[in-house]
Amino acid sequence: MSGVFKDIGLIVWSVAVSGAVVTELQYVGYAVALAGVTGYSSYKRAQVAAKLAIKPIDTTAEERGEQEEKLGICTASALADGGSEVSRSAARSPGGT
Amino acid sequence: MASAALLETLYTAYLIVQWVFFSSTIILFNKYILSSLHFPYPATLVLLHMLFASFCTAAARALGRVEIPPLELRQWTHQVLPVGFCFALSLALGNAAYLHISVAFVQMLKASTPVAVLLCSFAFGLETPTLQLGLFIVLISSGIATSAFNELNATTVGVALQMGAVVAEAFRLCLVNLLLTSKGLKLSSLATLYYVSPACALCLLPPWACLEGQHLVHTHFAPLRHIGAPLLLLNASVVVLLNLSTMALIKRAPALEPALEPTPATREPERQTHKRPCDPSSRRGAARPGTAVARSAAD
Repeated sequence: MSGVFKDIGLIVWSVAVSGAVVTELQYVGYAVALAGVTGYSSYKRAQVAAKLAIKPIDTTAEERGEQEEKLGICTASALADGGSEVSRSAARSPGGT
Repeated sequence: MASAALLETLYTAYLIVQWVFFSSTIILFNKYILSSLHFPYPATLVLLHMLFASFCTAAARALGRVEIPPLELRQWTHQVLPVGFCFALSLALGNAAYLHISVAFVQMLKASTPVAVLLCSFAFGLETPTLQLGLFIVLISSGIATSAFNELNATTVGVALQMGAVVAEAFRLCLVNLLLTSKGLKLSSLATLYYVSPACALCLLPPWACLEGQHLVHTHFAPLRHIGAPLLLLNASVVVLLNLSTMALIKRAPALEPALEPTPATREPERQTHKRPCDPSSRRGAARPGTAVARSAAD
């Protein structure tokens, strides 16, 4: 989620430091949009996970590793602006797994 | 063992912080140069970024610091160049928007990218419309529309530029899928930077010459001298550093790679992908084409 946090941080910076004016309704609108974005991310995640599930079972260990990697990659779907949901990193780091 | 695991986690956390730092810095830095320092030449800025990135990656390859798989000219013109075109368009429009609207408003408008990606994917047949996807589209669009209509300092030009950038970005992502990934051409982040940056610079050159180049030549590059070489070099360096930090992060935790490719359906099985002659460990770091530079200038 740090991609999202980054975007929120930039908005806060822009308001606090650069004096950008953001109205209350704009915050509400942005929150609604973020809800949609988060939903879309998890949708993509589930889609890819399902895609991997129907792969043949007799895969080699190497292929399985790749699939896991693929799954890992897609666990954190992200926004097109490059704001990846970095929060999942913990789960993928050697410490987490 | 526990402390080793802790160190690993801390290192990942450090990479995340570093990435957030660089990606935020480049946005504020570009805004500062374009808006605060009154440098109304967004295409010039992007062109400088791309030339610098091309130079850095070419130098790294020439010095033997990195291995970049060879690419046929035909592959470059047919598969990389269209991606570079969309990328150039997206970056230039995105930076131009900073001249008209605030960073906060730009970030809000950028949140509509998934909508553009979905509509684009539907058009290319990469994704099948479903009720759920429609719901996301409605949710995101209505939220962004609310934000946009309540922006006090909105200008039509600014909004149009930023939305143009979002659409170009969506096209770029679809093209990455159609032209690169689904054709089995999988390049590492650095190789992507190496091949896409010059393509991007090439596509930018004609519009730059018409829109900004002429004026810069007429004024004997006074605006560039006003900003100064050190600041411009620092700015371009942040773009390259951002790409390096993105690469390090993706290599470390592939989960962070944006899963933006519209569909996994057209993707060919992993083993058919382009075998790269690099060291095996770089395989993990192999990113989708375009993802790395995606965080450059207009990010």
